[in-house]
Amino acid sequence: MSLAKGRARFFAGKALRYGITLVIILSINFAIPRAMPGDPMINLLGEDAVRVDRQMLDELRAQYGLDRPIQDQYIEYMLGAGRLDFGYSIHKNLKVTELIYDRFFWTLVLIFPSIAIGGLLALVLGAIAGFRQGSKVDRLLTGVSIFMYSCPSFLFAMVIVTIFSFHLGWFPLGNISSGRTQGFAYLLDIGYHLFLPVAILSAFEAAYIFLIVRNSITQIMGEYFIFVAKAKGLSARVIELRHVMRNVLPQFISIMALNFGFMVSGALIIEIVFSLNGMGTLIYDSVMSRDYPVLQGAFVFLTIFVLAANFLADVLYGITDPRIGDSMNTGKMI
Amino acid sequence: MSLLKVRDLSVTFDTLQGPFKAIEGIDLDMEELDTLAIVGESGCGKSVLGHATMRLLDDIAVVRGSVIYRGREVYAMSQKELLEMRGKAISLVPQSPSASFNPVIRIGKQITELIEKAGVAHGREAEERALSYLDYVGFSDPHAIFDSYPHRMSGGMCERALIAMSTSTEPDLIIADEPTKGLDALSRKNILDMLQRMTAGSSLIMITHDLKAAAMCKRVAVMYSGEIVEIGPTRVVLEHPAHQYTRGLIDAQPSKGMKPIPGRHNISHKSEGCRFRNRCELVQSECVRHPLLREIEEGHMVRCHYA
Repeated sequence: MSLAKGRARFFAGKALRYGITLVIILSINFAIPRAMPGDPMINLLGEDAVRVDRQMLDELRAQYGLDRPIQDQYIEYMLGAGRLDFGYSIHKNLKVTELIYDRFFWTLVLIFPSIAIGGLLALVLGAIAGFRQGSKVDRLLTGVSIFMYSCPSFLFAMVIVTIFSFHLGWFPLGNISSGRTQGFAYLLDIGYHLFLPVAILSAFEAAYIFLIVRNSITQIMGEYFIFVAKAKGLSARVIELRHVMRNVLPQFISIMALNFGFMVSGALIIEIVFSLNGMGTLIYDSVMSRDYPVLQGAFVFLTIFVLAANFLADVLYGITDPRIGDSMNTGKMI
Repeated sequence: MSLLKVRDLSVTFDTLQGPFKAIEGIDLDMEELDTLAIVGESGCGKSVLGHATMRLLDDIAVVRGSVIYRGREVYAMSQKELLEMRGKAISLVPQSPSASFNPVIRIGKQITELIEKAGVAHGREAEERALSYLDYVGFSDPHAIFDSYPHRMSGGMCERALIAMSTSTEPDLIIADEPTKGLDALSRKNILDMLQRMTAGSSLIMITHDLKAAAMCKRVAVMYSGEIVEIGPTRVVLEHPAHQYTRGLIDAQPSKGMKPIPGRHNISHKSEGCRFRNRCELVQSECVRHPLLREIEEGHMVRCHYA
């Protein structure tokens, strides 16, 4: 089979898999609210529902299309999802999609720098610890990472805010900007406001990936080809940078890409602590106010985002590890 | 001056179960363009001996005795001298060919890095050299192998590429660790012919459990339980073996009827005396005393009281 044809077949296969995954997740997303006990309209109206007469409830149901057969609802929902149309928010009277676009942008502003900084930190510190296994530096870094990894992020974030914002007053308590600046000063203001949240998210990202990098190095150092590299008389530096780190790379890059999804959920907590208007606060508010269309839309967006990150991880793994890359070229599934 | 002189070399591994003696009291001499086969079954310490010669053992290995390469004590060398020696003066053809190459680096790059490290050639010239060595070991398309990754190649192809790599720096001494392991009869013959051709300008220590492979060397040393039990010119040792273990090895070959040596190889030889005595058919009262390696004829030494 030609390489191009094999690669095309591989990607077609992958696309099919992701497509099926997406349909399943969309269906679950459709089913969960409907499978829940109780009437969605009563949930929606909360305590007011007891005072509303039946006719009005029926009208509301008709307005949301809930009086129609379930298969019709499903088809309409799927068609809407295909157009990324989830209707209107019940509480905010805005199109769900517009709401999500705005909030998603700010979540990305929060997580992109965190992923970049955290990943770089993890790579450098993981290498330092991995190559000096058992040393004081290694034990210190590993200890801190395990502590961070097991520490609830909301607690950590609140402690940091209490110390640096409340007591020391070095940073703002929350919000994305003070809202009085424009142009370059506005960007600086955002950077100032995002410093603590990005630092906290970076630290969590770094802690997790640090452990992976360190363990990956330990494992690779024990491989026979590292012994052979030593027998060739290559210096420790060449062995570490060329032979070991080159092997850490595929795993590192794919974990980074996969972590995009987890970062969004991590950001959720941080956004709430710092009152940042991102996806996290949007989901949180929607849960609190039972804004189902927004919740459904948000979940679909996150699903697509996570699937895209997974796909990116697959592709990058294939590029950095020729063994995986070759199986892509032959069109073989892995 | 001899090329390599090993004197009273012993290696002990510190394990959780206590110290484990892998090799003990090894003496070897290699001249320029000399060839020596080290034979013995798995666990006899032959690979440890090869690695100890290049000072390649882990920190858990306690090495005693001396290894003198061209008058210089290997175990007194600085890290820099050691790195210079490896791959250039003494080159290893490692065992497990498929696991010996880094899976994410192209074969050509892995050969070129050794040529450059050894200072034999640089840049484009080093690549040309790598290509010509791939050609010497019989690849019909050296460029394809140069650009290939290890997983695309068979074990036999990796073995050939390893031999190309290890010989590309024209080392004084090549230590080939089980070069015919896991190969079928035809590949084995090809590899041996090629190894002989490629190492013609070097001294060779071939570690093997394959007596057919050993036959291409001038001398052969037989190891049992960490000791050399017999050493001498290949023809003499293989045709007129003096040690009962050597006889057992010869009779265990498929061509000689595959007669197994009775008993089991006791790796943790705690007892005194001859280490082979619990398996030896000729055991006598004197065997409780540890025999010394003694010369029974010119250049032929054996570790047995009764040989």
